[in-house]
Amino acid sequence: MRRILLPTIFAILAYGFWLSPDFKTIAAGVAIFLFGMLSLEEGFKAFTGGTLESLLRRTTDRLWKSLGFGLLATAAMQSSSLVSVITISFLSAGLLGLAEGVGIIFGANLGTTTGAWLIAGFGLKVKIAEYAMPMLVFGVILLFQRARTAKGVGYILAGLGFLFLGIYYMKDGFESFKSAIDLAAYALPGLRGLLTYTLLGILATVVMQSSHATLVLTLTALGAGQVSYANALALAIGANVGTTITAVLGALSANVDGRRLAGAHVLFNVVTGLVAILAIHPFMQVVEWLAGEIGLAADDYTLRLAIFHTLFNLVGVLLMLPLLRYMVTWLQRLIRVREPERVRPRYLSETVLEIPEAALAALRKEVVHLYERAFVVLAHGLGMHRETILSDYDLEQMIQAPPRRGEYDIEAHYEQELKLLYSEIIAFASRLRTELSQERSDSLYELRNAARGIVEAVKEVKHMRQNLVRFTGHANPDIRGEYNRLRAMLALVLRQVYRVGVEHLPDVTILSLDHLKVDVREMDKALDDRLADLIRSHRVTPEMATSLMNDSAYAFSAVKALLEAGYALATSHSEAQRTAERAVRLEREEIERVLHEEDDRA
Amino acid sequence: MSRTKAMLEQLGRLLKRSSDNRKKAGRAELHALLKELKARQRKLEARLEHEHDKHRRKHLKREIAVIREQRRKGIKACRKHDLC
Repeated sequence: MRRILLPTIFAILAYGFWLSPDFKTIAAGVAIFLFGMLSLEEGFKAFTGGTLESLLRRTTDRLWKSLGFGLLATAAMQSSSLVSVITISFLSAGLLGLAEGVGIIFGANLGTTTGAWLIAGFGLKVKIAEYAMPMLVFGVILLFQRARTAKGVGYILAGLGFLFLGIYYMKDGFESFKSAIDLAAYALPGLRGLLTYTLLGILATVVMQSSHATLVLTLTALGAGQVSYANALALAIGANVGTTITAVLGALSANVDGRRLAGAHVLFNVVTGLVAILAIHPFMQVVEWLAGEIGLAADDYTLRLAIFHTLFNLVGVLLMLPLLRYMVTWLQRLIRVREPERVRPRYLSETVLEIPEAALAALRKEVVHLYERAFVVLAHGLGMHRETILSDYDLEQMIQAPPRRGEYDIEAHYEQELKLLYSEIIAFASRLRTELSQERSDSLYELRNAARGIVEAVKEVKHMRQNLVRFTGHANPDIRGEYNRLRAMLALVLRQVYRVGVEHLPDVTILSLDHLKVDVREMDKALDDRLADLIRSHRVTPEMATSLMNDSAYAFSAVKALLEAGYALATSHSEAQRTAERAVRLEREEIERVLHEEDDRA
Repeated sequence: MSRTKAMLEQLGRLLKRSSDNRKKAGRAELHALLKELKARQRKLEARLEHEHDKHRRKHLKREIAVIREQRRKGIKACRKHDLC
């Protein structure tokens, strides 16, 4: 389905671009706008856990504070759309909670009414879109800086610049539609007229990407006598609803909380709009009363419009505030995260816990299951296929082929495939512990350690992954060779442990892992010697050498953990046999002796 | 009183027997393992005599050295715990 969907979208867009240059401009505007959103989110992520987060937390930890934050920010920026979009990116970056975000949106709806007062009072329209170009320039320069904060600010500025640029292109594209909006042509009396003009207000705001622009248009039409006062109020209501389109667009690239917030914005503005339409006459009476109190001239409709705009948004906030908690719960239920299925335990259960021997066997099987899953994650982390590692091919030859490129997120795979399994294993082992004899306790301890070792190996490979990808594709054959040797060693250990612990092949016994231990120790020593030689002869840079030193430490630590897991996963006929095998297993001292005696003989 | 004492003595004998049994089983397993390792070492030594490939010879030699060390450790454990 997905394979067909993307080419279809591309084909439709290409046809649209060919058909209409305006459509091309609008689509480019949407694309730039979305890119701005992504950039903004990236910028805010740089401040996660820092000053901005604590500032935001302090300024939005109470409802009245988040309301005030939204109100002031919108009054200062003169754009509720921008505030809602920024709030969505705050949420996507995890800097804010949904309830605080909704509070800001409510406040932004009050803040946007200051625009009507500015337009009505001073004919003023603050055009912050004009700052788009400098923002882009400053932002991109800051992106090249090393400091995390500067980079973060760079992303934010560039993001804002792209947002404005996107809105500019969208406006430009809609320019031809703008001339088609003739407000007088739809003059209708009564409720029909009210609804028609509300729809027109929505349409005009979507087209012009600005509720302020719709208000200016409305005031001009009102002044020219093109629309009645009641219909002008309906246009203002429509503008209030239409302005949510920017948040909806912004939510396209946001995470689930961002989408919920956009939902809250739409819900609030639609409900407020409906209330305003239904109670338009009482509203008009209150406006008249207030106008009389202030001493407005009978024909000063512009300031009356500003009063109306403020009044119905205020009523909306007062109406929705008590429902905020329910609204958040409802949105959380309505818009859900589609989390990928996490891998669950196969063998652990309450019933098996009743019989210690069966429970221990189940635990062993589950740790094997964990190893099988981790094997795939580790193989991909090393840029190899599971089948390649499990084949009989010489791994040193296989790794000469360059690793598979592209992003492989080990952490995400750990979360999805291993974490739950691992935590269930640990919980099960802790409950089983009290039920066992001494010998079985040793096995339990081994299995628990094996699970820990497997997970540790995944973490170690995650640490070295970045350099592994970088240096196995490097032009320097020495550093490439060293990293490929580390890959081969890890792959070899993965293969042997699989044969001992999962396949239980008769000719690969638990004690054969001792041979591998000797090989690994020899590789460790050889690497040390080669590294010293490479540095001395300047065949690798000091930076490469330190990376290799760190990464080889990760690799050998992973190998050690995997080998220990291998000993634990191998099955024995009885506890007595296992005890006997433990008694002859070689430890570090004996491994050294084997190597030492080999050197002596040589 | 005497009945309790008798029961405790019986329990003690039972536990001792179980511990003796475990010890006996452990001794038998270690014996079997050492025997198995010895047989394996002999087999590998025989193979080494007919092997001419340098790489494979090195591999076999190492495997023999590992088994020799495992046997040495096993025999030591046997003597230390009075198993052999």
